[in-house]
Amino acid sequence: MSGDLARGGMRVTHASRRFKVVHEKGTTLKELLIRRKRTSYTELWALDDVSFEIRPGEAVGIVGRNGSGKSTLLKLLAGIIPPHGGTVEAGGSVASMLELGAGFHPDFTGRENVFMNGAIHGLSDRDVAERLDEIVDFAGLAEFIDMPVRTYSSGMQMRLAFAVASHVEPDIMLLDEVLAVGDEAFQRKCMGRIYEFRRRGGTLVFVSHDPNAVEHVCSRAILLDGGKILMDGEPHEVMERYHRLLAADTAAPAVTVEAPAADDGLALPIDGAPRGWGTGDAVVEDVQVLSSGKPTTSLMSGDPAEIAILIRAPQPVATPSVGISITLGDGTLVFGTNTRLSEFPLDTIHGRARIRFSIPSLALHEGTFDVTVAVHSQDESTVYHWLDRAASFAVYARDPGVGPAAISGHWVLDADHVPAATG
Amino acid sequence: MATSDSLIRTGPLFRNLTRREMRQRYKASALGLGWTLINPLLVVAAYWVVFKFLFGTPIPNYALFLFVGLMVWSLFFGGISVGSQSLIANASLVTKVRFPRAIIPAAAISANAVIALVMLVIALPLCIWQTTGSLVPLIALPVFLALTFALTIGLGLILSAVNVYFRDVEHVLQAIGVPWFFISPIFYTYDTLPAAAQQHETIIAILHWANPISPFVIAVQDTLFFGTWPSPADTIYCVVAAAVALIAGWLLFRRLEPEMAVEL
Repeated sequence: MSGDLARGGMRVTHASRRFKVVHEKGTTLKELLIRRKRTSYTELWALDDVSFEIRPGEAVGIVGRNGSGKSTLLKLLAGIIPPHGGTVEAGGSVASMLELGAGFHPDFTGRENVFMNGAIHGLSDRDVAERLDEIVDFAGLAEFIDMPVRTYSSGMQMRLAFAVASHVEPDIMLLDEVLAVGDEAFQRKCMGRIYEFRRRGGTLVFVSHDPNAVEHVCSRAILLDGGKILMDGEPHEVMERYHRLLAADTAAPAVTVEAPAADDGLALPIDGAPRGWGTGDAVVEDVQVLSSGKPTTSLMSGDPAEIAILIRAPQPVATPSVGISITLGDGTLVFGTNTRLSEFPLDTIHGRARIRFSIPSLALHEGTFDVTVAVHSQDESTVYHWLDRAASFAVYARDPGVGPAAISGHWVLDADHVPAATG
Repeated sequence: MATSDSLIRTGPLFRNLTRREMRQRYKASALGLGWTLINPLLVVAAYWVVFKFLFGTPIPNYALFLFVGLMVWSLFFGGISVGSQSLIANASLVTKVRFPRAIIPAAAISANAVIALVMLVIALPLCIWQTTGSLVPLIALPVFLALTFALTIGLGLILSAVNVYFRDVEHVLQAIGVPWFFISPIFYTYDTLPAAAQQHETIIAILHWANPISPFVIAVQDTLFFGTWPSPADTIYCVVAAAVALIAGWLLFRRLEPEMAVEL
């Protein structure tokens, strides 16, 4: 029973959920009878004593790495599986869209599946009939609605599923990565629908890896890690923490790393401390990656960014040159330059100086990058200080595509040069 | 979550699922529901030839008698068969959406019951026309059919839930189908056995009472085919068995329901 919970609210109290990792599963009666001893398994906590409350009308983004317990939490909220400890309560009706086309039967037509899907969400046939035109129109499937769903592309299935789920007008809507499929136009349509749902006061719980979506849609974000809530708060801050977590993940893959630098937001290069060498006439004291003036380890592709280098020269150093290079994890050079090449002459440095390399629009697409910094003499004959992998940062893609470089572009079809169209 | 809410919500889902079960069975077949009658009619024809002419059964209107027994059998055994497989067949629903899981076996069994209903529509006028007894006991027929349905639902709930955890259940059912049919009083009655068989009273008693479906078959044959009142023993047995199956099925299903999404 919902008890004192307001309509549209959700309450999770000390919820835990174990997972059995069975080494050998005894699924048949024969195996159970023959092998009397229990099958061996390890128990993992998919969710470990999680508590939070969602107020009616809130939009909460749930983020976390793979295996952090996001999906388990969503399944608990949806009531598909019960918690092993604690309680999960929901006030009002819950519509969940946890997977593409849940409950779609491939051999039935889109129309039949809409009725079935509507019934799952508690709509009578008449309710569905009233909304059918709107649903079909929203999904943009008017000419396909009487064809079996098995002939649909995954994008079409997802459009239909979202169209139904968003037209049942629940108090609470649970969405799992729904915007990952479908073209941009449809994603925008979905967003519009979600905004509208929120305007009407609906409660939204949303699992996504897309920082834009979480920051735009959600008023609050919860970061899960290892089945526990790591952070619960303002979406932007939570996403930043999440990206730091991801960056630390990719920068230090299963190598023993001393952790001191992790706390101040500096992801460690592969072999622990940055490697430096040089005469020491001038020393690179600190290297930071900045976004809007603040240190960060995660950047969005296309955003402005800066690399700030703090140099200290105990004795005056005349006309030094400061260089940076951005490399991939394997050392592949992505970009490098220095003040001499950029014709940005430096006079004498004495004491401390800060120099920034300002990037108006980051042309990196996605991945983890290292920054190597060097201070040397103008003719590069003397290296005062070379600091390998002085900083690293992760870049998150804004546009589709893969690879480290952000090469934007669009496709053009010249119909004349295409072989006869198929299907 | 509010129970009244979920009750309101299950109605459309049950109807949709039942419709889907039926459509799924007969879709893309030209004869459609006609197929459901082909098998019983062939069975009736074969048994009629064998037992009427080779074994000389004394039962009048033997073909119709067979048809009535088969109706009960297909309601029951067909029901528990499709019921036992129903949760696995609908795994994608169970693992992704929240709703009372019992709807799934209930819808599958209900869709199967339509076949028995069609058989009844055929058998009823023939029985009324041909009966040697009274028409009054017919008023008890709906009760016994409902009890048979309740027994089927109860057992179906148990088998469907257990089958999620031990997939053997459906194989076991397949294996015991024909033998079970033979030890059920469908193509014979205990009263009309050859004299030699009448001596084995214990065996007959066991076949009558240890086989849960026997009293149901007998009660329906009595009211529909013979036009007599079922014996008090059969009547009590049917009421008790249906109630026990329904309650046990409901309790066991409720116990196994929460973790089904994980097992599937």
